[in-house]
Amino acid sequence: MFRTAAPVRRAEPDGAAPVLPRLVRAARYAPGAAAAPYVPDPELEAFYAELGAPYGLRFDREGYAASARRSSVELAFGALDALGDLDAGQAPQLVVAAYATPDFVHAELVASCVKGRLPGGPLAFALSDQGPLTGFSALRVAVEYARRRDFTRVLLLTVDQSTQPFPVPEAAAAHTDSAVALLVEWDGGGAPVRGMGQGPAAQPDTFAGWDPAVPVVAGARLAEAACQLPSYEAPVAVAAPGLPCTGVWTALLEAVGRGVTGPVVVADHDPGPGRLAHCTLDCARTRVTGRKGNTDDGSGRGA
Amino acid sequence: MTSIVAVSSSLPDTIPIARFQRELGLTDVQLRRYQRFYGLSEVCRAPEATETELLLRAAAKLVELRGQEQRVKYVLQARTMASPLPYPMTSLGPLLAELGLEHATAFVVAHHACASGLLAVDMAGTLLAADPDPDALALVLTGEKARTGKTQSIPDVTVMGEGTAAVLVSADRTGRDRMLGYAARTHPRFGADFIMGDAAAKDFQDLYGPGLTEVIGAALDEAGCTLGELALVLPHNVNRLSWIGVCKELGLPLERVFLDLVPHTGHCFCADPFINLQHASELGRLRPGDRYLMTSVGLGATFAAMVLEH
Repeated sequence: MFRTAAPVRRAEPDGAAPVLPRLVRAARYAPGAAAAPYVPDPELEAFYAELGAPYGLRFDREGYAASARRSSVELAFGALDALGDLDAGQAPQLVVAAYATPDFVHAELVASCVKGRLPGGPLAFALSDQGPLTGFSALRVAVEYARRRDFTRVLLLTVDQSTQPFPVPEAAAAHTDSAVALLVEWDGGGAPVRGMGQGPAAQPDTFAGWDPAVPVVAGARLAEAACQLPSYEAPVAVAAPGLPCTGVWTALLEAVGRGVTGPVVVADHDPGPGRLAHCTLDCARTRVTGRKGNTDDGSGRGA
Repeated sequence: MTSIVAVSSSLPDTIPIARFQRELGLTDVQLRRYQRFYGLSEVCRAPEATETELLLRAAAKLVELRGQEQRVKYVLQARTMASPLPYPMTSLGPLLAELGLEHATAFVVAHHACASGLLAVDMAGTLLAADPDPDALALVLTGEKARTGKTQSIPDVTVMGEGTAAVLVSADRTGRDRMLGYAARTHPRFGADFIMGDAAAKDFQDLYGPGLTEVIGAALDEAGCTLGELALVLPHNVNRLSWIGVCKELGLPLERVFLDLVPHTGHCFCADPFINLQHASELGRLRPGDRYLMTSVGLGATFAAMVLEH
């Protein structure tokens, strides 16, 4: 059970150095196997029809039938499995699921289901509806809970769900199913977190804490940000399009898999509201793990 | 310390639940049970309004927000249904634009279902306590549409209403209602049963009293307060009957549970405790210094309780 008194604003000790969250284990699950044949479910189709009707949207049976139809719980479990075993001493005290694309299965909650697979009964919840920046807010919230409650390990699970019951504009769509699990250690206690920010791209404060000397992993649309980024070097990895929430974290895994180490800035941009988010993770001891048994989509990114 | 600076709510017009009998699939006997024993005679609904419009109605009444928009750093929409809108629709974009809050970090808090509202208040307090600006505020928005057959009711439990609430949160202890303790437990065996079958419903029913009692006890412990010291309990408005059972289990007099709105609102997703706070305050049911408890239970299944001081 999560139980707590009210959070209290801490007086920062003089000279307390900001601390970087440490990415210790990371894995991706992106199954490429073909979808099972679609067997129409009249009750489900009626539900989708009812859901879309007020917005003038019709259930896209053809698109739905052609899509993979893997639930977000299945994707999250895949990433969790790929992360490898977590015993009680390694398991997170907090799990945050983050997604832009909602699950087409309305009877399952990723956070609750994932909690059921982990020892120690972590606090688990989900954040959504912030497009590509959702994972950044989830990490911020997770680290702030760690600072407040003396947690030392948090798990961020980002999920892209390609199956949607209604047509999705190309720019917002998840082209494939993907889930990324990031196990983050926090040993800063109540110390301030280093290198994390979010805000309007045009606002200089947004970049506070962004170290220009640190390698950058860029989201697919970071280059569109109408501002001068603090780092002038080319990013060490750039996310592929079509993965709204997992893309930039997938690129991070790819960079770490290629040997990028130490502090890494991860940044993405949401051109709709013109917002940008960034964080810095210490990747000096990151282990990128693969899926038990089958591997992922073959891109090598999650292996 | 997290405090609620102000709360506002919006209740659409009420509609007798008898009018939904066919949609809800209720027999005459079941309808009478809802009316007589569950205390659910009407629900508040606005069939013409979207989720965005319903939330705006509550936020528009939050007079304390006016002129303070630039202080609002976070907007948290607490949601019961994980995905009620066709992607990529979201209420947050239009809400931020309408309220002059486009500078704020905004996202949906979910997967504690109807208990997500209390989580959002705790999360807002967590973010604000860490914010460099001591005057920063957060806006928590709650309430949803009861649009589809599956979201109109929880069979044999309640009928959903479309009341909404807006809550302005601060990390400054001088706010009108100070948070003292919070507890939440998610029971993951219900994680894949957000829409419950018979077996899960029976299991959930058996867990309901003990689950609620457990988090209420933990929140009271964290607050350093006893049940006897509570002036009022502001519950989720699922029905009157379940509160009679929980009160027996807790040893709490039923009159200390604010059930005034149950017959008129139905269960308004995450918004119930906050709607109740606004109405109980307005009715003078809370005096300065009173300690009270807000509680919610979410399918999936999360039990939560929060102790505050008025």
